[in-house]
Amino acid sequence: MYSVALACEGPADQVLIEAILARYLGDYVLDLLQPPLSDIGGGSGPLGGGWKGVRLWCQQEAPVGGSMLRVLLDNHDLVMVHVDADVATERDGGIDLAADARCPPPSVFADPVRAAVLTWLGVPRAPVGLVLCVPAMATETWALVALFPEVVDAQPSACIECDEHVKQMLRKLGKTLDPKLVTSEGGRLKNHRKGYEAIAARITEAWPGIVSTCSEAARFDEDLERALRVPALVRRARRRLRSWRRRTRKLAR
Amino acid sequence: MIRKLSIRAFKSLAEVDLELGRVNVFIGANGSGKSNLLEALGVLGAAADGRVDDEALLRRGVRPGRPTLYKSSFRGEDVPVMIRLEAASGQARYAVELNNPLELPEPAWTYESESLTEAEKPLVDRSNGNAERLDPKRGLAALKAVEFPDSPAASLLRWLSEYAIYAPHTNTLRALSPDPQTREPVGLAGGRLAEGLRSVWNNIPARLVDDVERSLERLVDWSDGIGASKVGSDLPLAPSVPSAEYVVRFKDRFMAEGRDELTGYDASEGVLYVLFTVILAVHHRAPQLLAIDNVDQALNPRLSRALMKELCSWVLAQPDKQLLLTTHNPLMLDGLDLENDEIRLFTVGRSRKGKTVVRRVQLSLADLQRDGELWTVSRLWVMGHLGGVPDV
Repeated sequence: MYSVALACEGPADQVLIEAILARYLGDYVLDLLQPPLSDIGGGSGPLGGGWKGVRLWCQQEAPVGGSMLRVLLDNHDLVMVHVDADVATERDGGIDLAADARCPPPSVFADPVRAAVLTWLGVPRAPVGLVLCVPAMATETWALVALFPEVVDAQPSACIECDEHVKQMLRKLGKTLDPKLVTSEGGRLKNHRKGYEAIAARITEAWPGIVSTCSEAARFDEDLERALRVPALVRRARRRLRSWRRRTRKLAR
Repeated sequence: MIRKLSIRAFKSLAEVDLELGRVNVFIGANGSGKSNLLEALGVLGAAADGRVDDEALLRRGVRPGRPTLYKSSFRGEDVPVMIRLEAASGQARYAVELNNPLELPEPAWTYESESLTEAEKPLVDRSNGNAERLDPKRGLAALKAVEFPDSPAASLLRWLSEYAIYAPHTNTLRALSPDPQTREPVGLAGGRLAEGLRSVWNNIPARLVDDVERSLERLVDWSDGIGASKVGSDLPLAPSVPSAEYVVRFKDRFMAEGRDELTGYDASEGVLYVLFTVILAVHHRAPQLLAIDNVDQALNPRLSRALMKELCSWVLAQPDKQLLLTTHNPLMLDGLDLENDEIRLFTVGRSRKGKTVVRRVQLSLADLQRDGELWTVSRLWVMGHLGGVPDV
């Protein structure tokens, strides 16, 4: 059975990614790395939630004199890091965008964010088993496409993946959903894990439709398929090598 | 010792295969299936001993349950007809398939099949074809074991049948409550701790005596002497305290002469758990193969780390000793030398569909080096790197 370690922005993203993984893996074990929920740090643990939490988590893993990422990859079939591409537009995101960067295509934002995640992790390229999930400006887009495809089709926006109002749309369109996905609290839009959990099966079912509508979903889909093709063999070989190293060390003593 | 364990369709363990070392530590969220794993081995032990019924299970510290509970029953999946359990040592292998009807279950489980092999040669083979004349509730391997004494197959059956799950309770360790499952040298809940302590020094591998003595001095640093005495007027024990024939006795090195004696009733509970674990690890009469559920109970994290380190060295010093331990205390993991292949750490988790998944943690010293400092295994566990943490 596959084991997956996941670092993501928040609980709603976790539910969406789990639902997508269920489509590929059926049954699997998930170990959540980030955000580690705790009362300290506003409910998202010492590293915080959102993209800043993911960035801090990645930096903590960075291989200076040794790599914690390697430990993760040795103990899981997949390690997944999720962050939305809107980091690219954040002032303190530290990502250099071309002055004329415009969506579409959404990769204009997603590509530099993917590169930034690897930099945060301190690796030049994604090692085998590491999958990045950068669903354009907001992961909620995938829920919108799954639940309200006709609305998405009728959108005047040039690209739904780069639409900044997706969360607002989900709040409005999802008013009849119980439990709700998004509510407005104190002027801020808030995702509700329970709402996303209630629609998880619909996300799993609608994933092919999401992939055909969203280019970054398609990229995630490809990356995931590629990663799932490799690990079984590679991991077995890696384990054998490690056990051989252990044995030879023991003999050397 | 047991090298391989295979479990099919037992409680949350739909399909679990394990390769065991000498010291095996299982970590995981509450309800992940750690105790079920220990119990599966207990059921196999009862089968190897010749009968699987409530009495045999309780004797091994296994919670008896109806077949509806014992047979894996996952939503949307058929309930399997039987439970399959298998254990293998280096040269021998014992496998059994057990059944009990879901409706109107019987007191004892039926052996649907049973096999014992040694160096690939079958010694016992009970299957549907040749089982007509046998009592289906009696294990054949247990009966035939006398025909091949001192063989690897007999050793395997003995390890399995002696196996038990220990889960100490404070009041039982203090001898205030009776132990429902008394055993030599201590009961499954810690009963007769004082008697176990009295006999341990005469029942310990000679090469370990000094080592265990020194370790106890370190682990119980507030005490100048530990022993067991018959209850009498010279003991500082209130008359209202109900006690067994013997009590554990300590000398507190900080207290004034003549007022420095105390019994297990008054002592810190932690020290009683330490003594319990020490006895099980080194006493000749303790099972060679045993499990301690929540071995960290009542222990300060640093004490539990030190105890784990000592436990590993004692177990490795005895040729056929093998422990299965569960813990929720991260620091206990820092007492494990995971570079030694005989010391193994496993995470236990539930899949999305609720199936228990057991994974061996792969770690080497090089993995723990970071920025010139050494990250601890406990830190990695708490951070989620190893798995075995709940999503709460």
